[in-house]
Amino acid sequence: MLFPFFITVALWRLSVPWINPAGILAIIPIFFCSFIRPVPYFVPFAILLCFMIDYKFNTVLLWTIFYCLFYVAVNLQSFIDLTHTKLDGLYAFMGFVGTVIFLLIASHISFENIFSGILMFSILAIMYIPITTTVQVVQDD
Amino acid sequence: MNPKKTSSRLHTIIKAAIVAVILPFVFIYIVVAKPDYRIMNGVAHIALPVVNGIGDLVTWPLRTGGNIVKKVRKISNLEQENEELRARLDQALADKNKCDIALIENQELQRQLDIVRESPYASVVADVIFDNSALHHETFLINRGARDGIAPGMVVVSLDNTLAGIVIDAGANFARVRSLIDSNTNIAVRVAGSEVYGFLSGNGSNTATIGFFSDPKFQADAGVKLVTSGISGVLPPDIFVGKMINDSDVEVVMPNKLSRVMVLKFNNEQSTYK
Repeated sequence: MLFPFFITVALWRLSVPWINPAGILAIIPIFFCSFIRPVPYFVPFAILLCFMIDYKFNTVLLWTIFYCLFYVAVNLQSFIDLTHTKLDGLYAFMGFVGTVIFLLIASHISFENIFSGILMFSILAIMYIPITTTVQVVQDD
Repeated sequence: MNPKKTSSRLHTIIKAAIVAVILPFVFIYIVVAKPDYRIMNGVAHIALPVVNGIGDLVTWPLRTGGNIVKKVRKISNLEQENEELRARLDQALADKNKCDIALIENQELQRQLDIVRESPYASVVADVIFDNSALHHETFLINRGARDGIAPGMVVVSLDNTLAGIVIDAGANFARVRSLIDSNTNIAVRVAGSEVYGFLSGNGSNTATIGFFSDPKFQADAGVKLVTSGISGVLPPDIFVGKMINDSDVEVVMPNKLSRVMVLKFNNEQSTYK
């Protein structure tokens, strides 16, 4: 049960420019264990790690706010059930991070920024399935 | 309806409602607490070392493997690096003699002209522990903080006294530094050897840019050296910033090339980082 917590902290800690800038890969287990396969007591931890990502990213609470908004939106509606979606909620995840990355690019439009944003989005989308599969396998899902 | 299902659904709605109530306060805080965000930074000063420590424990095998690979690569490059350093040392020794003579003459001139210069700033040497390069943001963390006398607004230079960044937040044992290529960087610079001023700003790319110069007749060219201007006392004057590559781009220190830096304890009353 502790594996989701450990992998989130590990991915945040292993931040590397370009591949894992500011530990952004930690957003994958944060999203998965909050909305797709909810883990007990994970949400406050997820908010803390979103805050840590914001601190390294130097964005003032952007990821934290979006996580909270998404949490409110998902839990106050009953039309879409994210716990029963294709590809373990990959499309929902892409919508979530895509929106935030779009806002980050829009706040400072330049070719380098657009390229970095597309690269970040691609890496997050590609790494989503391996990381979520790892979490599920370890948790014996 | 199943009572268990109803209470579970109610539980979920209550949790979402609690988060929804907190959000407006967060928005108000972001608007009101500009630009230093004391509460947010205060929370980070406590949380970052704790999460970092847990992360160090969890990722220890991976980082050990990475360090071993780095060391092996370093050892294999040693001989070539040694040759290059010998050549540079010879050149540096030749230049040193010229500098020593110039220094002595300069001191004599200052004495004769009765010029009083401020003493050099106290400094703290720190290691770069994290490079937080992400989109157009470029900050890095150093392993010295408030306990070593570091405060927001202080200047960070590389070991060869080139401006590397400005401290924007200082925890007890770490500090966050905004580099010159961060999109929020905007500093006043002066063309070395002249009274032409300009503003250097970062844009998230590998070079900083300078938008305009105070003298419209000034023709910026490759090779022009820029130093800090010292205007309004925000930054100490005459610290080397970088060299122009063309009429707008400036080659500055890249954070990914830094492993050790110095923090100058410059007393900047007008700093907006306090």
